[in-house]
Order: sequence, then structure tokens, then C-alpha cells
Amino acid sequence: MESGVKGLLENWSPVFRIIILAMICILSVLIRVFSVIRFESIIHEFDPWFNFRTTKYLTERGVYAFWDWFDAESWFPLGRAVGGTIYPGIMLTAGLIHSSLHTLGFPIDIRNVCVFLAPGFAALTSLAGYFLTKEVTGRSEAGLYAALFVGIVPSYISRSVAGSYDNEGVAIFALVFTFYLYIKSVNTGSLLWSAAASLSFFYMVAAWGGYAFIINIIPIFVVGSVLIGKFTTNLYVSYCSFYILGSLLAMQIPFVGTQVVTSSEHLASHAVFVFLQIYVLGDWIKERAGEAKFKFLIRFLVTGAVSVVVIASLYMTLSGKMKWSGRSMSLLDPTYAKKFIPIIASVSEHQPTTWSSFFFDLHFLTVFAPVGLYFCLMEHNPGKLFIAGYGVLAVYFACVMVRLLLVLAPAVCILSAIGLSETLHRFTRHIKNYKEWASYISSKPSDKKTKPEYGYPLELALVVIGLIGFMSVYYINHCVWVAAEAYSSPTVIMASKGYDGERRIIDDYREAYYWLRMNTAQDARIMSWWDYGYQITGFSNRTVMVDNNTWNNTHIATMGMIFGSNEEVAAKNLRKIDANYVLVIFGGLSYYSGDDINKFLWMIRIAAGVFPQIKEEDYLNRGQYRIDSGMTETMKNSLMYRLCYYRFGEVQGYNRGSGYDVVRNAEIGEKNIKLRQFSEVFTSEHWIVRIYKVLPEENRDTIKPKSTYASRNKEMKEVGLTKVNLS
Amino acid sequence: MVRLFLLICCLGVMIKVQGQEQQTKVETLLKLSKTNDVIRLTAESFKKYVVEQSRQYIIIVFFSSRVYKSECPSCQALEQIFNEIAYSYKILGHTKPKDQNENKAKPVFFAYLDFSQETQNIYQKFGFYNIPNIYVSTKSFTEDSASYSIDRSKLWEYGNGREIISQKILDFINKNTERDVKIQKSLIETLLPLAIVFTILSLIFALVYFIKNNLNNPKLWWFGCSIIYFICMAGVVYDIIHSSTLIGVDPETGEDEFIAAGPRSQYVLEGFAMSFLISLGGLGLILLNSTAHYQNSWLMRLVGIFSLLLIYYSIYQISFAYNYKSSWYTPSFDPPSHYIKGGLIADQGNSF
Repeated sequence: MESGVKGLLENWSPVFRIIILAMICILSVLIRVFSVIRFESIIHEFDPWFNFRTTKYLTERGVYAFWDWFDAESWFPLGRAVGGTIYPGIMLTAGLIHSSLHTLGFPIDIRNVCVFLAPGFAALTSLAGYFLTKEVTGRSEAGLYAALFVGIVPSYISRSVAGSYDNEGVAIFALVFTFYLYIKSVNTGSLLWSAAASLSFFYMVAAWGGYAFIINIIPIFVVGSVLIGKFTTNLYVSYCSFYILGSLLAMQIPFVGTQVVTSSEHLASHAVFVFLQIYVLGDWIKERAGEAKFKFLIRFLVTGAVSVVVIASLYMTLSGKMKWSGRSMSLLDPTYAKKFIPIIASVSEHQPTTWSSFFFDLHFLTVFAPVGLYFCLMEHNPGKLFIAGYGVLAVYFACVMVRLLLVLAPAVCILSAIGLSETLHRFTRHIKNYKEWASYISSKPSDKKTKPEYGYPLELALVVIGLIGFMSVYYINHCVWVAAEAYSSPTVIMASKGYDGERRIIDDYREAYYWLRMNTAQDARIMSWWDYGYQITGFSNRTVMVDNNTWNNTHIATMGMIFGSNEEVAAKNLRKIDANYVLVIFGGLSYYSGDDINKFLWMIRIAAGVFPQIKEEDYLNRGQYRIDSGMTETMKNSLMYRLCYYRFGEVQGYNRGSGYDVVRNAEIGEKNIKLRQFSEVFTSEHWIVRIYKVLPEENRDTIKPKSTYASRNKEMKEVGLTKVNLS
Repeated sequence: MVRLFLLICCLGVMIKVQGQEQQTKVETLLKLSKTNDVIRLTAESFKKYVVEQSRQYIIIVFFSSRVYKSECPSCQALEQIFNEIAYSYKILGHTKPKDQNENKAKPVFFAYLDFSQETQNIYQKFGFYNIPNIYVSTKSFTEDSASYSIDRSKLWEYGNGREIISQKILDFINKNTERDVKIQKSLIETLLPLAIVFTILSLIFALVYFIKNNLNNPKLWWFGCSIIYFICMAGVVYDIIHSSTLIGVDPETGEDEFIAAGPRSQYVLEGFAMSFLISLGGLGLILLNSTAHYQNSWLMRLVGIFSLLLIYYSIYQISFAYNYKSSWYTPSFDPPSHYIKGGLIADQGNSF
């Protein structure tokens, strides 16, 4: 009977596996739709708005038009050649899904395809995680654990909630899937798998700039394997075919193009390819020439090469021909960026990671991963070594930059899955073999019974399984909470709680963008700080001067200079660049701290890099950034200050005087602002978005008549042109 | 007529004496700056070289304290930058007199005034509440019993949100000396990155050479990987870049603080302690797995229980510390109260 049940379960196990996987996929999708449930089906943040706009263009005009698209609505008057300056993977994917669904008779809107694309791909990433872990460990249960962890890990959720229509949403799937196919090709030595890995890599290149991680980690794995004596023909075949095909395919993406050859990011892949050929050649020579001669040759070559490199480096450094780039110096000295490139240090995504960020984004996986690392190294095979290497490299990168936690997340999930499933596998075996164990411990030493392979005190084994279950449940609880509360805000729409606990939606952005769409001329040009460029073109379909692409520093600096100048200079420059409206974000009334006044010093710093007349210290009073009566004259006269605080002096705050800025906690220094060159045309409900029209230049002074009426009359009389005569 | 002649003679003598005095001052400072890029000033020499008239040079004074240096990371950071700038000015020949009438051609000297009982009065007259500070003195100034009549735009005062960034300090000094000096590196500094790279490479090769017989030893690899994991989890790069202190001080009570408030900041000790706890939890799980190989069942039980306690302790402490840092972090199995307020029809942000 027992064997009957066991047999039945074993026969049905593939079905159970599929059901569990399907449930994990559904969970991966559902955990990401909190943003839609709590807010609505909307594209989030900034960059996704550009991706959405381009996808819309693709679906409306077709692939060729999309490829050749010159977008005149952005970077006015420069414009942007979209086809050659983007990673088109996400747009083409959404476009393909949209057209397939329409062909099948599902008239779904492209917006909804874009909104739900990342959750859909999260399910695919779960599957890729399952296959990779199964390939590495040979066990399905580890794969299932990995699928669950990958599907709901907060770090990945942060970039793939419904509405987060960004490159990372599809790229993480491509990353994990490429690793799976590559490991498969190493394990089998099959050219087919290698070609599949190259194709997946091609998709990754099309989708995200993070493809550089793949093209570096695989060569590192290959070199590492050779160095520890794990070189196999499979490794050689898989790498060489992957490298050649992958590099050729990567060149087909216009944005990458010849960078495959010229960029230092690809250098490791070329070097390892050459190294592998030399290694194989060396093997061949060793076979022919004998061990002793080969050793001598190697010594000679290595000594020569090292001497040449050292002498050349010294010469080039001292003669100033070799300079260390900022990036290289940052690697050697982590404080370099802070000292010399403050703009890098200022970006929150580029900040190094604290332990608490690791914990928030990975939770208990940080505890489980070392166990997986242990099992990967102790019972190693090429796949496990690859995962261990991936984990260690990714943890270093994530430590340097918080954004790279996203790349670390799949590695930690797989390592944790390996660690936990191995532990569970052992302890369930201990329970299963309890009878053998019981007979072993009840036997006398004289019986000399050998300890069974799986034998452990039952009560402890049960506690271990209970503890792992508890930690897993707690992890899931954390992930669900994080998905619902921390990572589901669309940024465009904000929610706040009133005094009575009621939820209030702050929808100022859309209100203003809709106003622009409905009340301005089709060819109106809107000037704002670059953060809002993608949203203005996306929501309002109006031309902007700068946007989040930030490719032209001078253009951005010009905007900074205009915001930092007085009204007359600003208006003159705005007219020169043909801007019709100015849009500013102001949070002083509604506790919105991410406003333009708080970003203003960065605008000044960027402007100062191009326009020497703009000086940061002119906006600071003894080093202090102030908006109250202690502010500097330059600050008071700046366009940014005047547009943000125009009519703000009339606003009477609760328990405060008029014109009290609740973000800066200060009463503004200038309450009676009279605009001369601009007129207010729109202010949103909570004053977050304010739009001003640039007034046309005043008429020139009227031409004074050379003579007065009397003398003119006299002159007319003299020529006989009097009123009487005329009549 | 005779009186006028005498007056002219006196004036001529005075100008000559003043010129000689000026020359002597420049020569003395030049001599002093030959041995040290930054000249040490006393209260007396400060008065002579910075405050008093008869000078045709620019002197940049760094105000700091040797006694409190160890407790003042900003003083250490600024001193290093100040020394670099002084070296750059000197190496580019800006200490040598060219044309003493124009600011941009006057020799520039760098000096340091230590805070002491003797110099306390000078600090007070400048109105300093903090150290470190820099003053670019392009001309002499007058003093009364309480203050100096200085041009405050030439004063770089720490605090008020000022950041100690090398380039900014250099820009400030360049602006006031009307020059465009770039930081010059000494030979040692130029070769330092190369030396670091070669040292790292040599160490790696030496390591590979010495452990070449153990290259396949998984325990060695695991140990190495765990060290990297431990260091990275501790947020070491964050500590370096943000110059984190070992522990902090509670601003309200003034007592030592071990856990920094907010998830985006940390103290050095806090990072290492948490990383240690994370590693401890992992070690507990590994230990738990290894106990199955023990022959003695009681030892197995003992180590097993110990491992379980280790895991529980580690996850409890980490969760506790995180909760302490982020008061808004309140995950629960029930939906938050604002989710279930009212039916679906009354839109509380939960409607489909």
C-alpha cells in the first residue's frame, strides 16, 4: 500500500511540479499588481514614460518608422534620433505582444500591455530561475525554491511592479535565462545550446546596458575554471561559440554597434578568447616539445611580458601619456568620486549600499546565501562554480552601488535555494530514515553498528524543518508587505493620509499635464528642469527643451542658467530658444520635498560648469541655502524663486504666518512678487505644478514725432494742406 | 622750500624703509616656505605677516587645532587638501615674486595657525565658532579690541552646509588669488596608483603561487568568498565614502549611539556587527548540516540545539535592529488598517 502511494506520488510528481511552478508564476504576477489595485493602471515614474511613448509610436507606425524616428518633440531645437539611441528590446517585446493579441482577437490597449509587461516577465524570470537552479543542482526542489525566491524578491519587485515599464523589467529575465542556457552549453558541450545562449544574450543587449555584466562574468568564470584546472573541451566549445556569435549579434543593436570592439567593457571577453586559444596552443606545444622545454618557454615569455608591461607602464605614467580615468581611480580609491566627481556621488542610485539596504531588499536570503555558497563550493560542478562566482562578484558590485542589488538578487535567490533545499533534503531524509537511526542509537557499542548516512534525532529534525518553514513564511510576508507598501507608488500620483486616516490622492502632475495638452498650442514648447521632460512629452504631447535622456550637458546647463538668472535675462534667453511656457514644481504648500527649490542648487552647479557668470556662492548666504529674509539678492531675483513663490505670500498657513514654506520650514523672504516677463497661466490644486507663459517682448518705445502738432500744422499750411483745404 | 625738501626726503626714506621691510617679509616667507609648503604661524608672526601693513604678497591662513585634530575628521580632511594645494602653488612657482602690484602676480604663501591659548584671541576676532577655516588675505587689515575688519568673502568657514571637497576648496583659493592652479601631484602620488595595481597583482600571483597545490581546496575558496561576503554586507564602501564614524552620538541625549537612524545611513561598528550576525546565521545553518556526521548522538543534539539558537538569535537581532532603524517598517500578516476601511465601493485606494 505504502509503495503504491509512493509510486503514485512519484508518477504524479511532474504534475505537482508544474502546478507548483504555475502557482509561483501567478504569485510573481499578483505580487506586482498592488500598484494597480492601490492606484490605477498607469505608467510609473520618468523613464517608463519615454519607453511607453516610443512603444506607442512603434505600434502606430510600425518597426521601420520606429527605427528611423527623429523625435522633434524632445531636446528642442536639437531633437533626438530615437532609433539609434535606445535599447529597443522592451518596446519591440511590448509591440510584439500587442500585435499578437490583436491578431488573436484581444483588442487590448497598448498601455495595459506596457503596464503588465514587467509582472509577466517576472513570471518568466521565476521559470528561468527554476531551470537554472535545476541545471546546476540536478534537483527540482531546489529549482522550485529558487523560482519562489526570484519571483518575489523585493529588489527585483522594486523594478518590475505593474506600471514600471523599464528596461530592467525584461532584462533580468534575459540575464537569468542567458546564464541557464550558457551553463547548459557548458554541461553538454552542445553548439545548439551555445547558440541559444548567444540569442538570449542578444535579447539582453537589446534590452539593457547591464548586458556588460554577462559579457564580463562569463569570461571570468572561464579563466577561473582554467586556473583551477577545470578546463574541458565543453568549456572551450561553449565559450568560443558564445563569444563569436554573441559579439556579432550585439553589434546589430545600433546603440551598441562598434562598441563591441572599442569599449573597455568588452575587453575581458576578447582577452579571454585570445587566452583560451593560447592555452590550447600551449597544450599542443607541451605535448610536442615536452614538459621541460615548455616550462622554460613559459618562464621566458612571462618574464619578458612582465618586464615590458612594467617598463611601458612606468614610462607612460611618468610621461603623462597614461592617465587614470575617474572610473579606474574610483575602483582603487572609493573616495575619489566624492572628492573629484561630486555629481556622481549625488545620485541616490549610485550611492554605496548599507547593511540595511541589503536586508530590506533581500531579507533572510542574506542569511541563507552563505549556506548555498558552501554547498556550491564543497560539492562543486561547473554550474555550481559559476553560481558561486556570480554571487561573489555581484555582492561586491552591489556593495559599491545600491542600484546593482538588482543584479545580485537572482544570485542570492539561487544560492539561498540551493542552501535551503539541500538542508531540507537532508533533514527530510533524516526523518524518513528515523527507524534505522532509532535502531542504531538503541544498539550497544559492542554491536558495532555503523551510523546510517541519514540519521538524526527526530525532534531536532522536526524543529529544523519548522524553523526553515517559519523563515520562508516570514520572508514571503516581508516581500508582500514591501511590494504593497514600499514599491507600488507610481510617483506621478501620490497618496497621503489625512488627520482622520482617510487616504487622499494627490494628482497634481496629471492635472497640470492635462491642462497643457488641452490649453496650449500643438507646437508649444515647454521649458522645465530635465526630470519632467519624459512626462511632459508623454502626457501632454508637447515639445520640451530637455528630458531625462540628459545627453547634452550644455543644453541642460542652459536651463539651469535660465532658472538661476533674473527675470529679464531669463525671458530674453527663453525667447531666444523659442520657449512658450515654463513649468516649475513647488512643494512648499503640500509637504512635497522633491520640488525644484530643493533641486535648485544642482541646477546652479550644472549651469556653473558652462556659464561662468553663474556662481553657487551667489545663491548662498555664508554657505547656507536660504529662502527666507536671509537669502541673497541673486537668489531672490532668480527665476526659479520668483516662479515658485509667486502669490505664495498671499497664502495663510494653519497656525503660521502667510507665505510659510512647509518643506524648508521658513517664511519666505519676498512675499510681494510682481512678475514682469511672465504671466501665471496654471497652478495645480496643491500648487505642486505651476505653469507660466513667457510674455512677448514689449513694444519698442513709440517713435517721437520730430515736431509738435502746432509746428506740423504750420508746415502743412505752408504746403497748402490745411484741414479746410483737405475737406 | 627747505621744509618741503625735508618732507620729500623723509617720505623718500619712509618709502625706502617700507619697501625694504616688504622685501624682507617676502624673503623671510620665501625662505620659510622652502622648507615647508605650509608655514607655521604664531600669534606674533600672524600679526606681523598677516595683519600689519607693508606687504606685497598674498597669504592664505588655515585655522585648525592640533590638539583637537584627532576628534575633528573635518580638520584632518581639510588639512590634507590644504597641503596639496600649497604644494601645487609652490611647485608651479606661485610663491616667487613677479609683479607685486597685481594680485594675480603677487607671491602666494600658505600658513597654518594652530588654536592655542596664545592664538585664541585671533580666533575670537575672526568670529569663528568652528574649525577648520581658511582665510585668503590679499591685503593687510585693521583691528580693534573685538574684531578684525576683514573681507568676509575671502573667508571659507566650515559649517553652514559647506562640504570639504578638494575641487571646491581649490576653486575658492584660485578665485581669491586670481589664478587657475590645478592640483599637482608629487612623484610618489603619480606613481601610487600604478604601485597599488602592481602590488595587488603581485600579491595575487604570490597567493596563487603559494596555494597552487591547494587551488582545488573548496574550504579555502569558501573561506575567501565568505570574507568578501562579510565585508561587502558590512557596507564597507559606504563607510569609506561617507567617512562613517565607529559609533555615533545621540543628538538629543548626547549618549553613544550604536545604530544610526534611517535605512540609508550606518556606523562602522553597526555595519560590521550586522554583517557578523548575518554570517553567524549562515554558519549556524552550515553547522546544523554538518552535525549529521557526528557519531555521538548527544553531541549531535548539543551542537544541533546550539546551531538552532545561533540561527534564531541572528535573525531575531537583525530584524530587531532593522525595526529600530526604520520605524515605518511594520510588516504583518494582516492588511494594514487603512486597507480594510470601508467597502470596495467606497474608494480607499483598493478598488479595481
